[in-house]
Amino acid sequence: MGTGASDMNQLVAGKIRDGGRVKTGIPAFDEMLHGGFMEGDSVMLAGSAGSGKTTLALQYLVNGTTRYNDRGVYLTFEQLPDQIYRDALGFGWDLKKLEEEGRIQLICTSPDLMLDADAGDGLLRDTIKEFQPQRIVVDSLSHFGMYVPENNLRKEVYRLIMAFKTKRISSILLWETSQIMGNTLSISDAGLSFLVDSIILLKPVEIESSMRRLLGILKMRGSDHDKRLREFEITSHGIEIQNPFTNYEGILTGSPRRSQIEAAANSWSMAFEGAKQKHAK
Amino acid sequence: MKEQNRNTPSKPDSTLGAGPSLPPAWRLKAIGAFPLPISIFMVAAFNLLLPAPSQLSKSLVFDSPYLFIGLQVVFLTLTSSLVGFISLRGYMQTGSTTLILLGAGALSWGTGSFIAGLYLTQPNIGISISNTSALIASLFHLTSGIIASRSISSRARPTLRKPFLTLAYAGVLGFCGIFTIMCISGIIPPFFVPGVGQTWLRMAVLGSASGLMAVSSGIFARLYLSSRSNILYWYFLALGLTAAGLGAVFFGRAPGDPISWTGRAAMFLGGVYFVKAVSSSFKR
Repeated sequence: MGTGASDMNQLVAGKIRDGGRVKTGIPAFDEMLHGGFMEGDSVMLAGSAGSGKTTLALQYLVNGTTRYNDRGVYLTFEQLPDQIYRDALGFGWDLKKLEEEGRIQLICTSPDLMLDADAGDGLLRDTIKEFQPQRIVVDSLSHFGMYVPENNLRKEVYRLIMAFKTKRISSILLWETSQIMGNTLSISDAGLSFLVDSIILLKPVEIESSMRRLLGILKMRGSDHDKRLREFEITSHGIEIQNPFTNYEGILTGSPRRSQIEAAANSWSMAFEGAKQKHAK
Repeated sequence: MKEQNRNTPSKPDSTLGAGPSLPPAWRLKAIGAFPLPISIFMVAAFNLLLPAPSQLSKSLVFDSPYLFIGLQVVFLTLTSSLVGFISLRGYMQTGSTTLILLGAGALSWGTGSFIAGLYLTQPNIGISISNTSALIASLFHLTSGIIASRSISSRARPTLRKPFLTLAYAGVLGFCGIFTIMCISGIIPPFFVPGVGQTWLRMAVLGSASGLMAVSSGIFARLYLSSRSNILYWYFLALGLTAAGLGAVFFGRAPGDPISWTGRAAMFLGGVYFVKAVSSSFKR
């Protein structure tokens, strides 16, 4: 799975970056991306446990094959196939059927097998060669990193990314951030954020004692994008992007507060609404 | 030693021997309650003291249209816009019908005052628009007050808020625009005839506006008594002053006489109270 000279020549010649966009199939998200991810780009999907990374990644693959006729590979180190089939079916995505139709391929393997040149690496290489996917999801780099010495992780991930890039495969690499809430934001301590072309952040935030989810594009190499932090929900049919958190400040710190005007507008509303409730008693 | 410190008053010089004093915010609220009865009393007093219009001395009349319009824009249009804006933001957060009506009422009041200023030289048009917009504003406020005092919650779904708000605000602006065109075209019967005075139509419209505004003020005062919200306190007084100002026109002998200036001052002060209500929402 090395990056040979001919592959590198393809890169230099700009064959990959032809301006094509890879749509996620989530309209509001594609709008945020100004049409979709750049073709052949590697995208880091960062978020804490339960933030919706797997759902978004699966939706990207399923939409890719059902709407844009892109073949997709889901490479997981974390879950067993039955678990993934079951979870996907909960959103109405029949992965088993798509797999039988030859539109999606699921690879469940262990990172140490992947790192073994004779076994796992060959499995992925062969899959790519035979299946020729346009999209791939790696779930997850964090798990992969557990099997790689810390000083080698960057090199191994670079190798993986370049293998995808040279085959014009748009990849989504899941990365589990350590903190669920908190006032610091650290995407990756391993220096991986420099290797990827785009970084999408998914984060739960507490607003007025209820848990809400935000999605933000932290980086998108070579393209303009929506800089606003948007709220999203995980519905019965996948991720739904909603309005930006325009009325709040300090969301990424984990301690959001309403802007002064919004706080005043809230007090204004409460004065009239609160009066109604007290008056009714 | 600790006990001694606790018993030591923080401001012994100013409070000892002077009896209990009100905190500054309460003092302001107490002072703020006076202008409304004073305005009503002054209108009543001037009404008794001033002679009939035909015998009114010109020295008692001061009417500078430009000054009046300038004051209208500052104290009515700008202050109403502020209420319209904060209600808009509040409505987008909560979808409360009370707020959209409040905002539409404020917008109508402010827009009418502004358009009236554009027709300085044609008093009938200016008066027709400002009086009608006052009536519309009072209707919105009354409905808002009634809904606010009902126990059932009426909130629009988040997806419907923007369209509803656009409809309400654009509807008010559109109405003001169309009504202005109708006044200019002579479709609307006159409210004011130069040399003759106000017509029955104006009296009916203005009387209704003043009465409805006073009722709205009463409703919000009642709501204030149950909630003790500073916002509602200044809001009901602002509506009361506006009602008093509109009502004063009935007793005026001529534009610019003491009664008319008392009424105008009440309305302008009402504008200041609206700002005070909005600023209270920033302090909570």
